[in-house]
Amino acid sequence: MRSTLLLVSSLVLAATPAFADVDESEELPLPDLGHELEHDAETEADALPESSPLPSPEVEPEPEPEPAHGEAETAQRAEGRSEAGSGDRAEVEPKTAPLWDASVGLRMAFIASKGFDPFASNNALPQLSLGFGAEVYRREELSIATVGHFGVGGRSATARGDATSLTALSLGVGPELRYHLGESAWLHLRPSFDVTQSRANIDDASSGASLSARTWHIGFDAMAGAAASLGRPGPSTEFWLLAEAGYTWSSASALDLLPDGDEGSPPVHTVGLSLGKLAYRGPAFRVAAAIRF
Amino acid sequence: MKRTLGIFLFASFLHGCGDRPSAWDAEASLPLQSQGLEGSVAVLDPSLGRVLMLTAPGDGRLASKALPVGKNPIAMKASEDGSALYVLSAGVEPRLREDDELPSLSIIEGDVNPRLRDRFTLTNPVKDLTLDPEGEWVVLHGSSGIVANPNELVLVRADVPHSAPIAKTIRSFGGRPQRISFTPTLTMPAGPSRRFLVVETDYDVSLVDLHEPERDEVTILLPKRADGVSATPVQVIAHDGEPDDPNDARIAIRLAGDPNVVIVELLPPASGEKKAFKASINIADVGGSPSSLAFVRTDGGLRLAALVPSQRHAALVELSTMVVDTVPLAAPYDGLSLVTEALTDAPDTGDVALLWGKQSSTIAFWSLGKASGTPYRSLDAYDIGAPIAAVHDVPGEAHAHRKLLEAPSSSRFYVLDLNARQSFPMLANTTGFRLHVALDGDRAWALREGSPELAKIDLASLHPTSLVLERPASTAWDVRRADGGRSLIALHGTRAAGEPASLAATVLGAEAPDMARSRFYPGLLLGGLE
Repeated sequence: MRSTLLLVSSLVLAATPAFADVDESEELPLPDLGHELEHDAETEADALPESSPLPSPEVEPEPEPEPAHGEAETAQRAEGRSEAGSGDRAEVEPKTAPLWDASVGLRMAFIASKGFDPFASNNALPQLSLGFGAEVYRREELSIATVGHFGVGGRSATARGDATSLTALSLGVGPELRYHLGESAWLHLRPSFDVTQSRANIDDASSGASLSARTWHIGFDAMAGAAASLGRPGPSTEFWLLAEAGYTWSSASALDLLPDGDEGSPPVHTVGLSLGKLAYRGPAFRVAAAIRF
Repeated sequence: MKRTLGIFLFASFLHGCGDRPSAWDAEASLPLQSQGLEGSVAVLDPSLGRVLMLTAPGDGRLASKALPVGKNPIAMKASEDGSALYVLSAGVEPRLREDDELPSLSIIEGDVNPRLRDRFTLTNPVKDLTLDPEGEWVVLHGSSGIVANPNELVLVRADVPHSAPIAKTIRSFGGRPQRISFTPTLTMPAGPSRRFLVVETDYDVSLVDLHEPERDEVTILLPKRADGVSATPVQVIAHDGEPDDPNDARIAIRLAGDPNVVIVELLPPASGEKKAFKASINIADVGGSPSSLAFVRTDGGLRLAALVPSQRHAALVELSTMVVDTVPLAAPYDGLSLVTEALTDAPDTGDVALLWGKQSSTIAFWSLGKASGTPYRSLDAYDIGAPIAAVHDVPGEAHAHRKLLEAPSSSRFYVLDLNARQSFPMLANTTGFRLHVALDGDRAWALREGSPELAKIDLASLHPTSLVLERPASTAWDVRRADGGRSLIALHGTRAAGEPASLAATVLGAEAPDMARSRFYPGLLLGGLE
């Protein structure tokens, strides 16, 4: 689990430079030349060269080497601070585009697999869902984010009187294409690669022991949805509400339950109890509250 | 967009609210009925209307296959050779919809690849079934319902696929069927040889001609007792007589608490009558209430033998004259088994019978070839130390000369060698063991129901192998495997307080059983639901 998280994080960081871009269309307010002449000695050291020079009508500005996205962001933020620190009242607070988002919510999948039947009276599988995304590319209304999500949930039931339970841990990552409707909402589409680990358990009365199985499932999600801003508690944070729906598919794994070893004293030569194959396939939806920063 | 999302969410809601099959919520009821067959073990699962067929594909392996047998199965019986299983189902009651199942009889092949062979739909539910030893017929009886006709029988031709069941109400004089049996093939004075279905009621015996089942049955009225009530039949046997005489087939009827034995001769019918025979009834007094009847060949010809334990004698009835000869017995034997065919060196004249009883610790060999001339020399008694309640035959030819004698009140049983006339006691550590002989005749198993203790007795060497299972067993069956070997399948059907009913099995090799190589299969009732 830990290694998977590290892998996802490193993938996100590695992908970030490749998609960096500078938005050259944004214009910054004109500096106060008079003020600059007086404090030239003080500000010269602070002012960054090449920070948004006025375009010359005659001379096209030389294309600058593309800095890293983070650097551009930093330059913009620094410029904003320098402007503020110069005492000059940049009366319009600079609007910073949040790049990260973290979400928590409920994910509900509807699993029609026969292997799910011993563990649930219906097809619903609820999961607590945690998400984390990073916007890696933005051009006008379109942006691409790398989004990872982690889910934990399960069901319990009885199988002809024997208590059963199923826990599902899922981890997925994928690119999310967003179409921004202004700065307060977007529509998104996200395919993602998923890995799910299941732990199935049955308290088998015939052996007097608990039988369990751990299975792995590889699959994908295809989700589409929307997000809307709920407001900014701070200059660099924003609350959002997300809702999405789609389809989840995973590989099937055989449920061969064996004595747990920790509970009960099953016969020495107990053979596994086969409960068919389990696959996480079916429609799914997710609602979550997110914070963007 | 909103509409699409709404439709998707609604469809998802419906999809998610889909219930799982109701079978997952059906709890099993104990005790679970099981039946050993030639290549499989059948476990009846009434709450799901199915039979779980357990087979052994290989050494220590177990496979389970669920076969539907109709809603509410109520009775299950196996053929004597273990080749077929018959399951009677009551169907859905009350029947309100077209798709509510009617009562039915299912026939399942009992070999290593069990499958449903045939299914017969009935119109009314019945409670019991009697199997033809020759596998041709199944008789369903004991009808139930708001109004029931206890004298109605349903005859099903089990060896003819999809044959129509024949409903037949037998003549009644106030009684109802108590026991149903089949005769061997009897040569008729007129017409082809045939078999009869024998229906014993409270007061009479009816013979249903299986060659023409729609024909009216022949009812044999029994003599009245001193109190004016007709006697009650308790045993009916038949014999074809001499092979070259078509007129000497006979049926004998033993009556409850009555010294008289009814002998029915199947004589030629009167001229002009389109019947196969005419029944002629004779009565012989055997000197006391008999406990067992058998037709036997003696040095004086065919006789009817009757054991009279109260008088410590056996009666031999001459069938033509009804003259009764008595042979004194050393003990009050009440059981008689003909063992002539099981002897390696069978005598040329006369049968050999094994006498045994619950009231005596001796057994006796009765050589009927000496019964006429020197009857007192015809008996050879042995004290084996315990009364005998049952005698188990050993199938097959290799060890047919051995019998297993069961003494439930004792912690021992016996292996009797008919050829050597030796009895070998097998000592158990406690009482209550039940014996089961494997269908291949090579082994016997002794199991104490509800305990994990089990023993195998090799019928060739008489070597016992003691085993202790890891869970208490309710029953154990010796079956043929797909690879030609034999496996023992011990069933553990349990329900502890507060726990659901459950079923597991221990599988081990039958020929060389070793618990170290056994396998325990849990949760068998969950099989076939996925």
